[in-house]
Parts: sequence; C-alpha cells; structure tokens
Amino acid sequence: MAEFRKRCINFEEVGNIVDKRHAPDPPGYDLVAARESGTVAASSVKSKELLARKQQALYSQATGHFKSIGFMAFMMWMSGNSLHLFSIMTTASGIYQPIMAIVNCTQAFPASASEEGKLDIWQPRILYCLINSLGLIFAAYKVNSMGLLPTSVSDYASLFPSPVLSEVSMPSVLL
Amino acid sequence: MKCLVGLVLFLHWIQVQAIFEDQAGQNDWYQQHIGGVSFAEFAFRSRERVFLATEANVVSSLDLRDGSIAWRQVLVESDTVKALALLPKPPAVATLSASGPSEEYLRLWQAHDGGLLWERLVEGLHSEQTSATAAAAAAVTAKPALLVLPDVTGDGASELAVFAQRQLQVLSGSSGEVLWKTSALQHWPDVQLAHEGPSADGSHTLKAWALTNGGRSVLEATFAAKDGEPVQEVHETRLAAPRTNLRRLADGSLSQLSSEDVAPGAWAVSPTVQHEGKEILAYVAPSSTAAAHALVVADARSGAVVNRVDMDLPTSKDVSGNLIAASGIWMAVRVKGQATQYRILVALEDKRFILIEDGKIIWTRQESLATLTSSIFLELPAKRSLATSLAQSVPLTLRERLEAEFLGIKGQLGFATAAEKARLGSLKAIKSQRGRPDRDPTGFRKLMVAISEAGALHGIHTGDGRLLWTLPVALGQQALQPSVALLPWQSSHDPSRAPTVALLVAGRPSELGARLLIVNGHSGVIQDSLTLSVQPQQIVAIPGLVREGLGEQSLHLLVDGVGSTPRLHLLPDTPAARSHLARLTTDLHFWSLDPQTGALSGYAVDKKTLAALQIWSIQAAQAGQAALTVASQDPRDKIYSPVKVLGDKSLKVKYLNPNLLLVASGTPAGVSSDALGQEVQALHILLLDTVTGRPVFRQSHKGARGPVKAVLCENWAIYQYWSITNHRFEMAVVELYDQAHMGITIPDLLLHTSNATRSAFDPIAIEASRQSFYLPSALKAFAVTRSARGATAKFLLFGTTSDQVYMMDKRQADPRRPMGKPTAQDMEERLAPYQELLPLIPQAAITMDKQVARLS
Repeated sequence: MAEFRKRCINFEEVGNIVDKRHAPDPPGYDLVAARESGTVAASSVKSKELLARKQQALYSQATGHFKSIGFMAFMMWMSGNSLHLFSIMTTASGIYQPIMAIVNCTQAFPASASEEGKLDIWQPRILYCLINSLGLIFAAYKVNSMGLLPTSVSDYASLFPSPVLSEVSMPSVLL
Repeated sequence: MKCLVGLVLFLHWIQVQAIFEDQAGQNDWYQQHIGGVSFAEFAFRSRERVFLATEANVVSSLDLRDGSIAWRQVLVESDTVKALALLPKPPAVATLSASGPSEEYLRLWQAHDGGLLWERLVEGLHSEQTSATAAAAAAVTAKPALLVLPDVTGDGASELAVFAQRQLQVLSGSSGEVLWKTSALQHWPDVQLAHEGPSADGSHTLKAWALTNGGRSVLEATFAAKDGEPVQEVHETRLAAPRTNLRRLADGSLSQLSSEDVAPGAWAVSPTVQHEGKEILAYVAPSSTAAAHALVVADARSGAVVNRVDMDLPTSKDVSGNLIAASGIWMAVRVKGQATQYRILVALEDKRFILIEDGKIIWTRQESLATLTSSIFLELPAKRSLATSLAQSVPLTLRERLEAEFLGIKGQLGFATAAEKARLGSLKAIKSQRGRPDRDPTGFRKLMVAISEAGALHGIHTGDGRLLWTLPVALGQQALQPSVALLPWQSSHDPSRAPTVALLVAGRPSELGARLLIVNGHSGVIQDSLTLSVQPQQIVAIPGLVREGLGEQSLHLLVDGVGSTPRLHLLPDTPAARSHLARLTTDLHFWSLDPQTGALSGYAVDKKTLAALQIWSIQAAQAGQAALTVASQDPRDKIYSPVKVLGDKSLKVKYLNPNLLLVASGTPAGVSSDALGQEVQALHILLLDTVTGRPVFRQSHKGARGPVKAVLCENWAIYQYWSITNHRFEMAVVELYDQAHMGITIPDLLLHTSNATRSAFDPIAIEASRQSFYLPSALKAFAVTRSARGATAKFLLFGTTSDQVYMMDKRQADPRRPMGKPTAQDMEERLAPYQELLPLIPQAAITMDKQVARLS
C-alpha cells in the first residue's frame, strides 16, 4: 500500500499545484548532480553582496563617529569659554577622545577586517581620522577661545628683556 | 573605658595647632613708650599711679606696681611740656605746654583715663603795651610756672595758678575760666609760685618770687588767691651771697640752702616733699665706681640725712667710657603701719627709668625705644643651638602645658580672672613659635637693630618684640649732638658667623675723625672700633657686596666736603673692596640735595682713583618757592616684569629707570596761602634722571601746595598734596611708558630685537598716563610694599594723621581707570571705573584699633 501511494499523483487538487514534497522524483533523476552545479553559481553572487555590505559597514562605522564628535562639540560649546570644572572636563575629553580615536584607528579598523585584502580598510580609516580631526579642530578652537593658546604677544612677555642701565646713581645721605 | 577614650581624645586635642577666627590678623606685638621723663607727680589716693610728662611730649600715667602704661596722651611733636601739676579736685593732671613763643596751652586731663577735660590758650599781653615795654619783656627769658591752689571759689574744684606769657593768672579748675590775671610781674625772670594759707580768716594767698640781680636778691609779691588783690606789694630782699637756686619751704620761708649745699655732688635732686611736718628731698649720691650708688633722703632745711640706701643702680659706662648718670629723681613717701616707705623714681641719661622702693628695684622701663630713628633687619641665627647669645625662650613643661589648656578652657567658659588671662597670654606666647631665637623657613622672623635718638643701639626680636640687647653708644656726648649713621656691614653664608652692623659716629669736634664701631648683630658686642681719618658729611652706599670667603661685605663711600669736587673715601678701604669697585660693570654716580639752598647736584665717580666730579647742578625750586620733598627709588626694589599686559593682550613697555628722582617744589611751608593768592600758587613735580640731571617728566598743579608726600616705584610715582582750590587733599599718579617699544610683535620678542642695555646719555621718548584722586586724609607717612622678587602685587601704605596705617591696592590708583562704562578690554584688565574718591576703608587699617604714635 505504501509503495503504491508513492506513485500516486493527485491531479485533482485545486490550482494544479503539485505537492512537490510528496511527489517522487522521476526515475533517473540524479539529485546530487543537479545540486552540485546550482550551488556554485548562487554562492558567488551572495559573497559579493556580503563584501559590499561589509565595506558599507566599515564606512558607516567611520562616519558614525561624526555623531559623537558633533555631540561633543555641542557640549563644548554649551560649556562656555570661562574656565570652570565643566568646561575644563568637556574640553579635556574633546581633545582626548579624538586623539585616542586617531591613535587607535587600527583597532577600530583592524587589518583582519579586510577579508584577506578583499575589503578596503584604508579609506574608512582615513575618513574616521578626518572626522576625529574635525573634533580636534573644534577642541583647538575651543581652547583658543578660552584663551589657552599662546597666540598673542602677551604670551611671550617673559621674553622681553629687562633693560640694564649702564650707569647707576645712588643717593648721598646727609649725616 | 569611656574615661580612657576621653583621656586619649584630650591628649590628641591639645596637639592641635589652630587659631580662632577672631585671632586671625591680630598684632604679633604692640608696645607703647613714652620717652625720657621730664616731670613726674605721684598719686596715692585713688590708685597707685605716677603721672609723667616726657621729653617726647607725652603725658601719661603709669601703674606703680608694674610700670605698665595706664594711659598716655601724645601731644604734637613741637608742643613741649613745660610744667605738670596734679589737681586733687577733680582728680586731674594739668599740663602747660608751649608749641611756639606765643602759643602756650594749659590742658587738664582726667586722672583715671587721661580724657581731656579742657584746654585753654594762655593769652599774652595785648597790644596796648608799648612796643618798648614788650621788647624789654621779651628779652626776659620767662620760664612758665604752674601751681595748684585749693578751691577758693567754692565750686568744688581746685584752682590753677599759672605764670606764662609774662602774666600771672588764676584759672578755675572746673572750667578753665580765668578768674583773675595780672601783668605786674611781666619783667620778672623765672617766676616761681607758692601757696600760703588758709590764714585765720580762711583766705588763701598766692606768693610769687624770683631771683634777680644776678642771684643777689629775691623779688617777692603776694596776691589774694580769690581775686588777685595785692596783699603785699613787690619787695626786694638782698641775699647774703649770690644764689642760682633757692628752695621755698611749706611755711613760706625761703631756704637759703641751695641744692649743692643739701646734696653735695648729687647727680639729681628731687622736688621737696612734706612728711610729718618736715620738708624732705631725695638725691643720688654717686660713687666713684659704676655700681653701688647711694640713694639719700635728706631734710631740705638742714641737709641732714634722713635715710640712706646704698644700692646697685643699673648704671654703666657707654662706649666712650662716660658713666651714664641719673638725670632726674622724684620721691613719694608713704607710711605703712610703723614703717615709712620711700618710693623713688630715678631717670637715667640713657632714657631708662627705675622705680625703687626701700632699696629694691620694683620695675625698669627702657624708654630709649620711644625715639628710634633708623633700623636694619638682620637674619637670626640659623639654628637654635647657635643662638647662645640671644635670650632663649624655655619650652613649656608638661605641667605648664596642662595649665595652659586648663586656663584656656576656663577662659572660653568665661570664668578666668584677669590674672589668669595674663598667665594664659604669657604661656601662649612661650608656646607659640614666634619668639624662637632662630630663623624660620619663610624668613619672617628677623632681628631688628635700631638706633635711638638717645644714642643707644638696640637689638629687637621681630617675632615678639622683646629687647635682646642694648648698647649705649653716644651718651655723654649729648650736648655735642653727634650724628650717628647705622650701616649694614657684613653678612655671611657661614651659619656660625653672626652678621654685623657698623655705626658711624661723626660730627664730634673733639676728635679728628669719625668713629666707626663694628657691632655683632646677634650679641650687641662691639667687635671692632676704629677712628677714621676723615670727618664725612655724607655717605653713599655702593651697590653690590664684596665676597671674601664666606662673608659678604657692604661697601660705602664717605663724602668729605661738598662743592664741585668732593673728596671720597672708601669704607672699608681694603684691596678686595677697591678691586670690586674697579670691576663694577656700571658707571658709578651719586647725587645730593642741599636742604638749605635746595640745590641738587650730580657727581660722577672715577672707580679707580675715587675722584668725584660734579657733572650737573640744578636748583630744585623756582624763585620764591621751596623744594618740598624728594623721593627716589629703593635700590632693593626688584622688578618682576618690564612690560604691562593690556586688556587686548598687547604689551606696554614700562619706562624703568632706577636712577629717577622725584622733586616736588612749591609754596614754602609756613607761608600763608591767603597772602599769596590762589592763582600764583602752583605745585611743580619734576622727575629727573640723576645720572645726567635731565628732566624726564614735568607736571604742574595750579592752586596746589604742600605738604607733599611722594613715592617712586617701578615706572610710577604717586604723590599727595593739598589743593587750595578744592580744599581737599589730592593724590596724583603718573605712570611712565617707553614709547620706543610701542606695537611690539611676537617675532620681535622671539628674535630679541630690543636692546637690553640702555644708557642715561641716550634718552628715549616716554608716554605718561596721569590721573588724580581725592584722599580723605592727610598723610604723615607714605610707602609701598616690597617683596624679595617683586612678584607680589604692590600695595600703598598710608600713615594717616590719626597715627594709623592703611593699606590700599595700587590698582585703585591706576591712571587707566575708565571714566565711563568699562569696555570688555577694561574688564579683562580688571580696571574699575574711575571714582574721584579713594576711600580708606576701616577693614584696610593694618594697625586695626591701635595707634602708632609719632608715625613718620
């Protein structure tokens, strides 16, 4: 009974949809051969897409830092130009974090992420460094507006030599 | 267990070193002095007090038990006290003082607190007197006399009889109102007054007498004390032998015995005192040796010795070998049970005075400290072990520490008595580190060596103000008034060597040259004494020190003779000093001001031959004017920065010239402004370079005159003057800037394009900022703070006429203070908006509630 049912095709089902699951393969059909040739073509397409997506992810990782830099710049702007604890802390982190990000860019974009050279990690790295440099530039502007950069002539006042007179005149005290 | 914890906490608590809020800013020490005694009166009735008038014109009352000052009233410096008397009702002290030939003041001071009850100008003879009579009367050297009379008016107060301004007058003690006066005695010399009465009818009489005719006769006149009616006309009594001094006894008779008869060879004889119906007096009979003098109480009538005590008066010899004698003596007698006590106050020539009771010294006051004229600060020994010559403060024992804590708790709870508070104060003083005899790491503790007008050299510890040593120098020479200069001499990096000072005693005609004493600063011992071959008139300090081994020697130039080519002598004249002078990189000049003529002269010194040549001379004041003051920069002043940073972060270069001199000239003191008129009067300020004599800056203030007080520091000068126009004291400030270095840039600074060496003969253009303010007080003294490197902000120190010192930030007197609303740059520069008045805020009084009498 069971063997008979294997070869039973129900043509009377609505929509003429064949229940492939329960339909047996025709005789002589080699399932393994058919499978091998089809898998090679499909996996090649998929891996290209994946690489593109990974590259995209690298770029988004690099540009995604823009938000935190912007937030930090906003915090620095909010803290004002006077010297107090909050402004000192935000400015210090505004300088520290971009520098550390640039220094550690090889960790953010490790060479292993290049998928054996298939992905370009240099451009995202450069983009990442540029974005952090923007943060650094803003922090430098902030430090300057706080008056901490030696850009004015008064910062070099100590270089002005005290004049030495070539004569000395002393008072004569009456006894 | 709880007790143990409590004990442990208590022991930890006593280790805490802290002060209370109200202790912050307290004076380290404050000493009051009164000067050498000239008059004394004892009072026993209410309190044990002695009332004194001194040579420094101070009226004061001392506690007889410990010699502390109960009160003191400091008169004007020129107001010399001529007489002192004690009023029984109301208890008061009367003084007669003279500040000029026609200005004699009679004042009455409350005995218990020194409050002024009344003051009266003693009126002289009016112009109805013929000029010939006035001239004849003026020729008489009338010595004023003051006498207390009993209450003759019945107002409950004693009366005062005064002979002053050639008039005899009797004034009411309660109000100072003149009861009667007479000019009958106007030609009498040195009138003395005595009281007689009451007679049988209860009336009192006033007897006046004077030695005349070269001491050969006595003039006497008697008046009724109540109304001045002559009781006895003027009559003259011839004496058996001429006398210079006569004593009037209580019964009205004149003792024919002079001081010499009563007290042969005495140093000083006291006024007579009545005791048990006898007239007695005291005197010091010196012995040939320095110690063991005799204090003798003798009968004034017969000269018979009543009491004699041989005792060691703390007299000594001064450096010239002259014995320091007693200059005055006063006595009071007190009967205590069966015994009679003689209290004797002895004033010595070195301005000490001593209270002696029954041959024992009760207390001594060192009043030479009242007239310090100049001082030098020296370093204390580096370690306590090296300070063997200084008076050591003994550390507290455990018992004393516990006592101090106990008294402290008692004091805080308000149970401590006055004696306990005093004990606590003394324990705290020992406990604190202020009085340590060695130097502290910050260098605030110093040893001050100061010379007084009396000629004594003192070593004073600045931590607690105690006197470490005294060296009598120029005593015995008082009549000659030698001029004494205190000079720094040697310091050393070797901690075992004490610094020395030099004392130059010049102007003694009896010797050929000036005398130089080298004194050990730590012990006050004379290390060396030498007589110089010159008699210098002026002295010039040479910058720099000569290093010889571990010692550093200060150099001075003695200037002998004035004029175009004065002679110079190097002090000390050693080969090392000469080679130091020859190696000086700068040219040496000096300047001098003749106070009589107002002539300023500048001299150049040849460093090798020590020849001086006058290179400029100017008259400091114009015709009809006088040089009012001069101010020069302190050579010890250090410049921290040669530039000033403005609000826009640009630089302004200061005009720094340590050779600057400020000369203020104007209407001479003593000339009335009304006589001259406002328009013609002007105050001229001149800043000149003392190397070349070239004026650097001039400023005239119309309608202004002296007194002028000025300071010159860094690139600014501040001076105070009287504005006749505004009727107020004004203060003007001038700041000088170098115009040659305006608009300096960073590359200029980095490349060092500005020339660091400058010569006075190559003048540069300057820019002056000026401003003036009102100051609500006249100044007696004016100075600027100074620090070792000049890095601290400058503060102005004002010594006001109320004898207090105020401190004010120099930035308050900034000429760049904006007139309107300050701009952002002004605010960046912290410039306060201009206000015409510079307030003296009470919190800025660094003397707090204390007064420093005779501030100068």
